[in-house]
Amino acid sequence: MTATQRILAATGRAGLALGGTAAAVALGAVVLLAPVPQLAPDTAGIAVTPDRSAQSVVCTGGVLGLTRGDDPQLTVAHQPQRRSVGTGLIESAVPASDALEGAPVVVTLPVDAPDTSVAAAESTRAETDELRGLAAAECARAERTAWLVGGSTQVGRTTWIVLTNPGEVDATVDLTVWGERGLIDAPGTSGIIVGAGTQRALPLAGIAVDEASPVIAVASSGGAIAAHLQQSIVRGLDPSGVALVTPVQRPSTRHIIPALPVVGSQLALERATGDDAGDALTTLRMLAPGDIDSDVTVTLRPADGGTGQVITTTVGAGAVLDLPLTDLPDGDWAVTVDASEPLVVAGRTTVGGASGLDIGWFVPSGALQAGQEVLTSIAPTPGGVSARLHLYAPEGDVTATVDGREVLVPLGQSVVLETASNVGVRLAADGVLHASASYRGDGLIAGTRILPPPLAAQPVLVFP
Amino acid sequence: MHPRVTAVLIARRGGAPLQQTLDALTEQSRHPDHLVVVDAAGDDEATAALASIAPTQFVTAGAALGFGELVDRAVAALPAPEQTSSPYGGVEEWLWLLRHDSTPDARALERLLAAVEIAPSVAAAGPKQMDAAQPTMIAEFGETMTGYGASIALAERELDQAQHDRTSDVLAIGEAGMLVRRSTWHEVEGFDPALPHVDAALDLGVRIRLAGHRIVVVPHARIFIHESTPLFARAGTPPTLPPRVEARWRRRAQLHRRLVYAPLAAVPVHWVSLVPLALLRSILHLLRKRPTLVVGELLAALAVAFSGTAVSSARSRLARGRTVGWEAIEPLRMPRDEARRRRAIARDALLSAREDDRPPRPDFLPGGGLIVAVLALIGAIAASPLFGAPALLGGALAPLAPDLATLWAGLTATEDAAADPFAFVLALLGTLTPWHPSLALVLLWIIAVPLAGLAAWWAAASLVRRAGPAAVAAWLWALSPTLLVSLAEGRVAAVVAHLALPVLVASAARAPRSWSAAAIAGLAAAIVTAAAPTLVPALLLAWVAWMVLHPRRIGRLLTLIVPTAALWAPLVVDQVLRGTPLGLLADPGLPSATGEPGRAGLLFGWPDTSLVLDPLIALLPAGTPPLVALLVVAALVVVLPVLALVGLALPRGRRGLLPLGLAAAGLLTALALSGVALVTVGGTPVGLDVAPALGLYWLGLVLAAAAGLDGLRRGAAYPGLLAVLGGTAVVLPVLGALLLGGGAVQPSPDRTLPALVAAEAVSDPAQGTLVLTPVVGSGDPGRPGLAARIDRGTGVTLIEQRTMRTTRSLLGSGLPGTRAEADSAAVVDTGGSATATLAALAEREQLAELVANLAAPSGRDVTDTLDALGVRFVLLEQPVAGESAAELAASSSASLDATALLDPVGDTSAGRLWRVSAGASESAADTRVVMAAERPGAVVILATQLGILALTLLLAIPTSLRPRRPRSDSALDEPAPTFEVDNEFESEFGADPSGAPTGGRS
Repeated sequence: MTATQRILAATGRAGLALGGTAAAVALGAVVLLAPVPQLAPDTAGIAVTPDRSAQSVVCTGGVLGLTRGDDPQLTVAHQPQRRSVGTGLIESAVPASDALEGAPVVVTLPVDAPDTSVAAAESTRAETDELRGLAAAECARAERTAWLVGGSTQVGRTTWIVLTNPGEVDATVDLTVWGERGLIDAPGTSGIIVGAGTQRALPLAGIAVDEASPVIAVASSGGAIAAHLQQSIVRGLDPSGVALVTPVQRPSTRHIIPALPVVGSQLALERATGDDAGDALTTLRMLAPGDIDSDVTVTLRPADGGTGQVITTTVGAGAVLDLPLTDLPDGDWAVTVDASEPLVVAGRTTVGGASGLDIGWFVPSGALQAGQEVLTSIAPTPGGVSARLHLYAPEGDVTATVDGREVLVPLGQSVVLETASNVGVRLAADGVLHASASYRGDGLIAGTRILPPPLAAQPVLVFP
Repeated sequence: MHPRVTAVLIARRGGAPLQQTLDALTEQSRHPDHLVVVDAAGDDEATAALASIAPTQFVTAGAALGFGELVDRAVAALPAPEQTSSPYGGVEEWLWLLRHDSTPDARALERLLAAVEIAPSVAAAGPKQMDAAQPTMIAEFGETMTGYGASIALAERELDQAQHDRTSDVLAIGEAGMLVRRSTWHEVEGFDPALPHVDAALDLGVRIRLAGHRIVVVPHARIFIHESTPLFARAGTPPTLPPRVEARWRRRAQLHRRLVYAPLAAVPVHWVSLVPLALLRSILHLLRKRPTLVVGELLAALAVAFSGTAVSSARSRLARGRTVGWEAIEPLRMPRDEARRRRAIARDALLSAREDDRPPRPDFLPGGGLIVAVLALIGAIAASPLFGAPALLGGALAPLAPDLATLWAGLTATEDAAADPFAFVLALLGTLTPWHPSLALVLLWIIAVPLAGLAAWWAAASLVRRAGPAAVAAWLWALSPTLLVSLAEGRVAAVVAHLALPVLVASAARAPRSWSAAAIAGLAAAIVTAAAPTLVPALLLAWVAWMVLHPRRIGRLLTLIVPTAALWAPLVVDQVLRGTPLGLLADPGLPSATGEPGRAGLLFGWPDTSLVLDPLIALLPAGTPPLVALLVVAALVVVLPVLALVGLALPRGRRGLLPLGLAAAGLLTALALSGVALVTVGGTPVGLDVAPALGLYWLGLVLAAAAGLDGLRRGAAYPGLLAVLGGTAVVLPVLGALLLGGGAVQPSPDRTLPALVAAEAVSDPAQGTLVLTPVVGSGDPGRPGLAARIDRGTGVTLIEQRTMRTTRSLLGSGLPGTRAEADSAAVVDTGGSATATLAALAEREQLAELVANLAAPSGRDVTDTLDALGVRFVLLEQPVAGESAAELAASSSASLDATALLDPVGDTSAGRLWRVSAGASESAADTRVVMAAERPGAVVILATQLGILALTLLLAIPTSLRPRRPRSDSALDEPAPTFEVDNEFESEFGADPSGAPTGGRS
């Protein structure tokens, strides 16, 4: 190979390297900058709406008491009167109960029934040596969580926790109990088995001794549970009231009680003096179960217009606060509770009458959305007891339709309608409406809520 | 008595040999008395030349006739032998058979006649056939048979040093220049027409001997052969004869003779054994790397088996002429020892020829061995968290199969899906640990790093001359980001592709020179494409380019695709018929979403940049922009491309071009894939894995850099060290993640479902478990959904994964080339898997309904659906992430709890488990149609596929002796194999056991 050839070969290789470098740089630029096709298959899953299931509501059953004798047994002291509404409904009894003769009724609307909703309400007039008063409760769906705000285990106060499992699957229930001083740690509150088709009744006194302001959270796994409290008071030797407390489903930053009736409160206070008059006051019981104190604004609105009251306070985290409403004149008050942290709330009133005292617990009602038609039941009442329907619109003027009759519900004003008892009422509105019913007689008070219809089954997104 | 000689000249073509032959005929010291010319050339020039010699007879014949038939034509044209009543006997007539390519020496006829005149028992005599091109070389000198009847020349291609001049009696002689007594010729009825190409003269010799005559060779009569006997039988000017045709002719002639010579009782046995023997010998041909002979072997056996009356007429011809027993020719056969000695000599000659052909390559030991040992240590340390695990889980990994039978059953096509080619790779892997197939994956994870190093060494050694650059290539490939990221993230297919790629490159490089390498390359290509379908376009391109670069070996290179095609054919048919050809690109294995490489990641060869950038950013001071981390990575690896490009400017720089081309193809493939997803999991599209494409890119870079280092010679030490240090430093975070168990891959039991389910699966392997996973899909952000699937037996296994199923969602997706789902009527018409796919889509809807009605309160009775799907358990997995998914998990759990049909079992490590209550599942036992049915004919297809693979494997197994390393001082030419001194030569140099030459001084 001559020198010339060698130089030529070297030049060729250098050119090759330069060309390679240029190609590499161009390739790098392409990789960094060139757009590439973006292809992806359809990722949408299949949205399937589950079949509508049979709707059922569980009634509380009658007022519980103890049998007389040396070995007192839990029994149903007074059987309730019930009104079930909904075409095609089927009533059946929960087969097993801790209480003698206790057979709470489950009202079921089968899938193929002509009606789309079902409702029922019960009321019981108690009149024994230990129990006196009017108790009423709407029948409610069994749920997995329930917050029972009410009851007391002080002297003379008896509170039963009643857990009903209407389903086909055993439920395991955990109870969490708060009191004035916070969480109450008690044995026997977790792992309570409530068999399928069984009603259990547990004395609250076994969990929280001498507790004036208990709040109980019920959580079930397995089957769903319908839970409620029954509280009765004996002042001195006089039975002075019985009430059923239905549950708040979950803590929230806003609760609305459409009607907290204050009837004969002065008389009640007078008759209650001498014996723990504290719980004769109209009171709001509140619990913020989280870790943060909650700033609370309570707005009280009287029926049919007029100025209300606004109370601000702070509910300490994890401790029950009984907020007395001392200067509240008689009337049907709509209570709005706005809180900075989720809490649960219920109101208690005590009525005094010629024939005696009675208490009632009034629990927040859920909102009926615009356009929803809800079927509700006004419980049958004994003689001398009248029923009222309470409507409250917190967000704007609403025209409600009650059994075809149009009623204007102005913003921030409770509307009270007299109604017959033992009837079904169809209620609809063109805005957000909260509604409840109250029953009152001489020295008798009770209330039922008008529950929003069950949420329409949401489609489930499935990626098979 | 003066003998009368009739020369018979058979001319197939004109040209210089014919002219020389004609000239030689006229110059004979003893002129033949008659000259019969047979013109089979059919060309005017040759006819004119033949006519110019003024033959006694001029016969024109068709070119298609064999030598024997042409001679018959000539003899038929002769006047009948003179009958004489002389008491001294008649005139002796002799035939001298000549071909156009056989030029006799001027005294050839004279000497032949002299030999036969003194021995009346001699009926035929043959001259010494010399090679016309090398007149001192013996082309052929006498023919005989081995004990098995194979024809063999007594002397062939030897330097003539008078070493055979004492030979006289032989079994047969070559046809060219044969002098045969005419009466004997008629007595044995001439040549056998069933032997048109080869062995006709041998057969004639056998029959002459059996007729009681002798045959001699006449060493001093010489004849110069221009062509060979088989070449003469071919038409064309000049004739060409592929070795495979000659082998077919020889085999056919031998089989024909076997049937003719055998005792009558043995003929049926021989006939029956024809085809089985041919099959056996075909396998032998494959093992000896002579695949081209296989077809000829079978054709020859079939031709002889169905040759009509050829055998019977040959047998009767032999019987008519025979006067003595077979034992008469026994001493003339070649002794067994001699045949064996000849074979050994031929083998040695081949070996030494191969040694000369061998390019220089670096020694594996000690440098390469040390590198692989260190890599094995690193790999074992990094994989130490996996020691003792029965299986691996995470990423695309799952247990392989519960047992060997299930593993192999995974290869058959079911009604709805052909098996993935990758299933064959998995089956092969699992068979390595037959007592526990899943263990093979654990072992693969442990030894992947050294295996990659070994493969890369092999690939680099075919490119470079020194050990250093090959060691650098082995190190960088074993610790390349693609391999380590694939190991950390459980991309099992990418790991397999990574190990097979260098083998493919190395064997493809040698494929033009070796059948064994071609077969290995074919198998490696099958493995690579099975594991990484996305590499197919780039590899096809490289294949075509390789064929263009080696046009003479195109036939051999074309066979590279055979194993790949065999594996892919059923899947290709299925996907195309279904209308989702794009689905062929889908990655095999469990679909699993992996990290995004990003454009810079592609450039640096990282399939998932988060594995290197996250630790790096954590290491850098807070607030450093991510670009700095990218620049650090770039600085560590930039030496590779620089070396590769510098290498181009060095001497022999062109060898870097092909690796660089591969690198560019790999990088562009990765770029094109980076935006493509073909599979969805839980509502999220899973992008195609770019790791194999990046592997090809990295392999090209590493090999080109090694070539550059090789070109730098002594200056390579520092750049090589720099490349190794940078390449090692950049993967330290991944190695750390592997060692600390931070990757996705985790040891797992040999099941994916809870132990309770696995225990039940022992008695009922088909039992279904409905597995629900709350996920947040990409389609409707924030809206959670339930990913649902039904696992059979103990859970997901790798072998049951099929891309036909995972790419089902392509149907109607509107991607290019994909059939719209609206065309489902058309799909039904195509039948087969398409119909099954539609059924599967319907089942998908059914599953969705079932899940929705289980996971939300519902009034539907799902007992029948659960039975139909064979579901015995329901498992609700923990959501991976997302608050809304957690809420959905809670509500689904509550709803499942409330279902009377399901008994809660409890929380397991995999999630919350329910058992379908006994009452519901009892009836299910009877109606079990849950396993996908096998497609009719699937076993035949599978057997064909396995057969093709097995034959390729036979061809791939290296059976020939390994060429010794060339010694720098060995200047021996190819030894003439038949030197008389051969034995001494061997004992002195060749058979020295202690002196196994290892070289290393090149």
